[in-house]
Amino acid sequence: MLEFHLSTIVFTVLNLLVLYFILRKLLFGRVNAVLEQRAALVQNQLSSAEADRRQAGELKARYEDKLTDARQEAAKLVADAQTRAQRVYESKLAQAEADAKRLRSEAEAQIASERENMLQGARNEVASLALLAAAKVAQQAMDGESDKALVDSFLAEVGEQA
Amino acid sequence: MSMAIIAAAVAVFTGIGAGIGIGFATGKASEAIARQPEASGKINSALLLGCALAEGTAIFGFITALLIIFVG
Amino acid sequence: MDAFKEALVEELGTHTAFTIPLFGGIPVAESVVVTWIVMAVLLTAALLLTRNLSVDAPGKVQVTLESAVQFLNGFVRTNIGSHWRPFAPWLGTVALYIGFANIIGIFGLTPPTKDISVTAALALMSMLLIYGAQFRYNGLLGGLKKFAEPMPLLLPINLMEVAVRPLALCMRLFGNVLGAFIIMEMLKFVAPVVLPAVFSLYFDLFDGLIQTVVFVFLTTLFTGEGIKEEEA
Repeated sequence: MLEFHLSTIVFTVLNLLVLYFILRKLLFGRVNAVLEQRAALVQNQLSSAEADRRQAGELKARYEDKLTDARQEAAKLVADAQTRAQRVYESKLAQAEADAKRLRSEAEAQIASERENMLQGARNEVASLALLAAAKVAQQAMDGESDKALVDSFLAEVGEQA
Repeated sequence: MSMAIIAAAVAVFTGIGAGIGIGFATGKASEAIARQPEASGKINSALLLGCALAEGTAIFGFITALLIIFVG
Repeated sequence: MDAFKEALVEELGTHTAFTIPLFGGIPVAESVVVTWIVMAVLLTAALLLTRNLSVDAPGKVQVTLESAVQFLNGFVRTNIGSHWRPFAPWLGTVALYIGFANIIGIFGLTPPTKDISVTAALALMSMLLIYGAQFRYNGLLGGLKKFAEPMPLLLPINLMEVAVRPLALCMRLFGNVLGAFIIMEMLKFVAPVVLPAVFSLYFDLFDGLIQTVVFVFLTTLFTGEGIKEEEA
């Protein structure tokens, strides 16, 4: 009962080693391989999800940049258009003002010359009338150069007083 | 023959020591688990180790008794 | 009483199943034959269970198998440390073998662990594993230094442990299985009908599995003791 049999010990050791090699290859090896593959798969998926997330973040940032760029550009375009319109408006206004001023000064000059002409005509008329009247008064013709000068000086005197 | 049987009976008395020892160990382990239930894993493994070692004495006594009866 | 003793002695003896006619006859014990049966069962089970493992869609069997292997790996890792990987398959093999050998009494076969030569072989392998690992991972000098830990005064005790540990492992397993076997035989002798079935549940199944756990646990613990503290 309590005797050790060398053959049994040797057989058992051999059996254990054989069982160990078979089970290590078939059972533990296979299951551990599957476990490791699954761990690797999960790790892969995690890292790829992380990469996707980062990429999405980058894309989002880029789109936002682009969006702000576009908005700024639009604002600049509008501002440009506004300033250009302003400039055009101002130049048009200035031109119109200049035109008006020119027209007015022309008109004034014309009026002044017409008045001058009229005054000149009226003065001549008055002078001739005065000459006529004086001739009538003096019963003689007063058409000499000296007479005319006299009348003119008189008229000028009158005009200054008037 | 009768002397041998008595000797075997005395040898088997080692079981008392093992029983008391394992009883103490289990009682203390229960107390420890009641005090710290989160450490029950470590306590269990320590208890198992202690019980296995304490049980060894009983086994040695038992084998001695068998040797006395059947071999001696 | 004498008849009972005769029967018991007859049951307790290690029977030679057959003899290989080589080198003047190599006796093959009954326990070796039962070991072969256990091996065949384990081999078939391993082949059947690992037939189509899949990474992404594991079946129920595979999930159970995986959690068992993961439990083994975790257990070995907690007790041995970072060098756990080569030890797990061996400890798993030993656990499966002892477990099946202990509970095979239910099926009417003699448990191989009732033969002290088998448990001696198991303890021998455990000793080789414990001290082989100690020297393998600490080097020759480091392994020798381990015997002087935790203090040089304990050197004789540590050296004594080299012999005591496997002896205790061997005797514990053998004594438990033998004791259960003897009690079962007595029960069968006294009350051969219902009682043995009930007690067989305790002695063969429960005690057998407990002893399996104890054997593997102690081996793991001693192995871890030999190599673990170097890393801490």
